[in-house]
Amino acid sequence: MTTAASVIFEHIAYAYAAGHLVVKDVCLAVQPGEIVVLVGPSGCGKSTLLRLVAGLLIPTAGRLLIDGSDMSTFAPEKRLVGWVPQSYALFEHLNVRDNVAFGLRMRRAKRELIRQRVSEMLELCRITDLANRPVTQLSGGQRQRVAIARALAVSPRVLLLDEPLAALDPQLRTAIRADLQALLRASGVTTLFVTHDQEEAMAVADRVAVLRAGQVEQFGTPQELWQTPANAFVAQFFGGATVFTAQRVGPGRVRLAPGLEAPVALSHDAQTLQIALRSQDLEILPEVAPDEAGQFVPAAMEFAGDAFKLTGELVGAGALTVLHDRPVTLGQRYAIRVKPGRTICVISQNHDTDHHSHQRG
Amino acid sequence: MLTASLAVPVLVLFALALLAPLVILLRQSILDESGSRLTLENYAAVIRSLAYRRALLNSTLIAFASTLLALVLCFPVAVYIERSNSRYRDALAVALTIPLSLPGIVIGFFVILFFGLTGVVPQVFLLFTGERQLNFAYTFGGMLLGYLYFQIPRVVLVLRGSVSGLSQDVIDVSRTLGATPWRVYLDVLLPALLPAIVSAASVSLATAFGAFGTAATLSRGFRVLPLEIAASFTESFRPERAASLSIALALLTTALLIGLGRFAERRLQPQGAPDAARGGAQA
Amino acid sequence: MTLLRRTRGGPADPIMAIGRAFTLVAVVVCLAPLPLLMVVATTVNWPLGFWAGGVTLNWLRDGWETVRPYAFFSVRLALSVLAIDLAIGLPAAWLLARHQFVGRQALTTLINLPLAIPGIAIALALILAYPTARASGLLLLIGQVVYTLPFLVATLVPALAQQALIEREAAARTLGASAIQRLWYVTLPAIRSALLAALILVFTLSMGEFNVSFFLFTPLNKTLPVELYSAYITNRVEVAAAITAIFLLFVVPAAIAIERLGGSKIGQA
Repeated sequence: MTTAASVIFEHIAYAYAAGHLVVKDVCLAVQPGEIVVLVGPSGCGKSTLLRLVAGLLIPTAGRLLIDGSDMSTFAPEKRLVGWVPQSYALFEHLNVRDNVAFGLRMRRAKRELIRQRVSEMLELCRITDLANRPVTQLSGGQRQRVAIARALAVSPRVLLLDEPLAALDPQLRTAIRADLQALLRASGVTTLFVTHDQEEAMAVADRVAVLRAGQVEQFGTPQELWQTPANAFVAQFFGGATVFTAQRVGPGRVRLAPGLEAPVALSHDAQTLQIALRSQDLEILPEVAPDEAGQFVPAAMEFAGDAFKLTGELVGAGALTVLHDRPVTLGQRYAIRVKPGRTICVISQNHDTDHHSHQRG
Repeated sequence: MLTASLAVPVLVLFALALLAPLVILLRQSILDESGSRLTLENYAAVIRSLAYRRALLNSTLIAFASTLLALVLCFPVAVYIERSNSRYRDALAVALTIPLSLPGIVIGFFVILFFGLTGVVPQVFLLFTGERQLNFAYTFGGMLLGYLYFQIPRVVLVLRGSVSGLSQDVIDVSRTLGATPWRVYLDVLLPALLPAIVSAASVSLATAFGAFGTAATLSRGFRVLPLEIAASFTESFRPERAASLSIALALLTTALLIGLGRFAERRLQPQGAPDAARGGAQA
Repeated sequence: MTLLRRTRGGPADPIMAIGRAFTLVAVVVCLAPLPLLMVVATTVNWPLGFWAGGVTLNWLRDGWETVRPYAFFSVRLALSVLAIDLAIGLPAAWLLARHQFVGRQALTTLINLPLAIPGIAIALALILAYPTARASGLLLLIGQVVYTLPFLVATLVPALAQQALIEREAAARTLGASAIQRLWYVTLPAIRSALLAALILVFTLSMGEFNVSFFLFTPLNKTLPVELYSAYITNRVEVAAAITAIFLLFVVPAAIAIERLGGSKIGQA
């Protein structure tokens, strides 16, 4: 349906005003048809990257290649890129059909072609019965679908989605997310998707780029980022882990805290390792006497449906979050151990990530 | 009640100084020459008169022409002034409001300075080509220029209010969908600002119909309604004729201002269409 | 909401570029007459060209001698109009800004009525209604008051309606301030810039008013614009230009002051 393009960011930098770099040095290679999610905290430059691809901003340095051609200074109307901003930006004076048809009208397509293409898009996004409704009467989820239909109608080479789910009710988000992913796969278009929600990123992406302060911290599949985070930031932001320093006590084994030892992959042989602990990695043992294992003192407890989320201190190591299926007494010491059968994730031993090594697909 | 008494001064003033005189004006317009019988003869005479019909046509012509020109010119101006970050922005905005403080006669005089017999432009042509050209101050063209001059600040003012509500995202999206800058103006900005444009048009038209000073200074044969009103009052002293013309003109300007203004608010999308902008029907 | 972004090094926003071009044209149109006016006003013999015959301040000096009494009359008139407008309009603005009541829309429409009716019609109506009041100049005063009042009210209402101000007054009240004290110490300082803008606005409108004044003036009560008009009819273009320049001195600085005080919000009241 669409001829998907590759997108390459080559040492892209962007500054809003003199000296203030929002994007410092970004190198990414996106394959045709891939869904790449850009994730990171606010201010990391992810929305700016989308605008650079769309042509709404011109890079201060570096090159932007779409399908191999340098498009860095091309005006937006010449790029054939679909952009869906967070606010959806529908044309309020038009109904749904006319919104979807807008791009085709701008490119002077024949009326028959417009009619046909618009019907296809309405069908694809499942909004056919809304065709004649004014957009001011639509719900958030409907507006999102119209915005995407509008962007896809011109058969763009790249689709850019800026936090498409952020404006929707949390309850709807998961369902709509699945719909959206199916839609993107069906259309086959190269997609750059921005979100600050790591769960969303993991669910939707072929590959994920984690950004911080205008630079790419790591670029890889969700599994890669989860199992082998490049640094503490990726482990914390993307995996929700707490990072600790552990001492090696034997092949494939480290000590995290007094009494708490854990298995790690054999390949790590440095004396000191940075490890990322996730709440699912550990369990507390209320029946066991604290002296015989690691010790955990919960300071706060939240009910999370399936389990209780306990925040507290791993004695001798630092703050930690653990899940337990029953409520506990705050302030009391509990024995804690790594769940049997789990291997703890180790952060790559280079603490200053070499950005290039993680970015080639 | 104390709060009700706050309105008393303005109610008294307007009752005595505006409403009562208007009623008397209305009454004068439906009296016959003897002053004793009620009749619609004055209005009938106005409608029958070729001169007055011509004046109405002229007024309509110049009002619509100057409004159209002002809208076309000032639409991009309003977009720029309201959204620009340039440090000259404020100075430019102030420059555009200069015409608001000037009476129509001064504006007419400006046109004469440029395009009158001894105007700067004909003099320059005389210098270079030996012939005076563009000496059109006292024609329709000159008056049009004068009317345009006082429309500019009013139109910019009304449009600016709505421009601030435009979403930059919508403009950006339209560009990614293939709209060139001119298409953005025509297909995105114009429809979005349509209520404000109609509102600006209502102010502009009402002002143009009621403009007297500019016409008095520049008109040599291109008669507009306010001039006919003045003539029938001061020259031929026919107050009943003047009254009926005045009532007719007042109804026209009021209908334009309030009617079009309401239309913009209700039928088109509910944007914050501003109330009668500065200057109203005076120029 | 996304801010307007400024790109560096690349092509500027073409939409704003179009707007800027149109704006420059409009600004040139608005400002061009002013320097020309000064040139004509200081030329000995304008029909022969720029500064033909030399530069002179005579026109300006003689012009000032001619219009001085009318300028002063206009100023006195403007100040009287201002005082009356304030006395009548401030209470009305207060009422509209602070209270909801049945006839509110009607009252607003009534106050704005003079904006919809051509000045010439207002003048004629007044003459027919009170023919004897014309000679004393009373009609002139009344006509200008009626014409300028909507502007004063429109400028004051938004300032008085500010939620922050209302809350501040309420706080002062709980602290024991009487109505007069609240007015003096809380309200007036808070609406200072809007009040100043409104006063300068009325002053400027009155100084520059022609359409109403032209039919209501008398030889003893003649305003500067009316005198300007006779200068246009009877005088040399240099004299007319000089008198116009003098007139502009009275209104243009004030107009700039209004704009700086945020007076352009009037269109959005």
